[in-house]
Amino acid sequence: MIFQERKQPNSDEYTYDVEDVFGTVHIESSVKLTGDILDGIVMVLLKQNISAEEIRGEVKHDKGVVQYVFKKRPMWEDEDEAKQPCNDTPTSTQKPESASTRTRLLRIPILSWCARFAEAFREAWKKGAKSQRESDAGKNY
Amino acid sequence: MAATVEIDEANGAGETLTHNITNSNMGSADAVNLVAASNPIVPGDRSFVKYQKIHVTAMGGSSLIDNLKVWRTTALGGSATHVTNARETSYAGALAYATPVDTSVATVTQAMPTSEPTGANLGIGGSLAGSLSGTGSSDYLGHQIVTDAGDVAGASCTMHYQYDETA
Repeated sequence: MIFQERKQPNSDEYTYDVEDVFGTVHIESSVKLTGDILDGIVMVLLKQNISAEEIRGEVKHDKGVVQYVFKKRPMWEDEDEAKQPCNDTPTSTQKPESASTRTRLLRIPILSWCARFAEAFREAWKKGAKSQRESDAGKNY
Repeated sequence: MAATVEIDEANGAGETLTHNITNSNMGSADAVNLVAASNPIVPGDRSFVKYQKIHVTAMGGSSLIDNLKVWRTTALGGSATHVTNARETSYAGALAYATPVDTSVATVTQAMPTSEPTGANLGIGGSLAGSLSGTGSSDYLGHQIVTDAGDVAGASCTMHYQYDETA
């Protein structure tokens, strides 16, 4: 399978042109897709076994929307034998390893207090607690 | 399945390691997950330095962990600064553990980035180009808050620890 990835200028959209012996698939996606996902999309389309030569569709998923146009190549094409076999070389503009590399992030809070603030906070807390006690005591009488 | 990764922190003279810390609160004590309000920093002083590391406890089918990046978001209070050994250039190699102190530490002198660094700024095996192909840990990340005598409040920020995971 050969695919070419293009990032649309001034947009978050990516387009992919995938080509193989089955034909071509043009994919527009709101998220970046890996080679594995593209492979999976093509496999799903092939399994649909639809007789139409051109299929348009849309897949919504948790990260966005993928729109596709699948153009099937006739099963027996005269010039097939004259063509060079597919060499499975990705022609993505991205680094090949990006297809299987994920960036992950851990975040934890970092809190620091200055002594003056801590003292002021404690004083305010004491005053609040004292007035609350006085208020509560008043309610008992 | 993704790799299982946690942040660990070492404290005390004996390098007591606490796994999977829940915060990186900084204060006037050498303690993990400390309560900032109970351990406030006297303005003009430094917090105790933190020694933390990114710990891969399971690869989860991945083959490589690398490209470690650390940074902080949200400004510090007053004129405080945040220093670290993490740096993209002139990395001094693995930071050796020593009993945490509230004074300056050699090589923990670089300003903590406040956005994602371009490249790795924390090493593995003493090198920014290092990687893990099995369970293991990064170099120690040392970091410390340096307050100013005029500081009043403090700050509530977020530490980010990022890595690349190759399947």
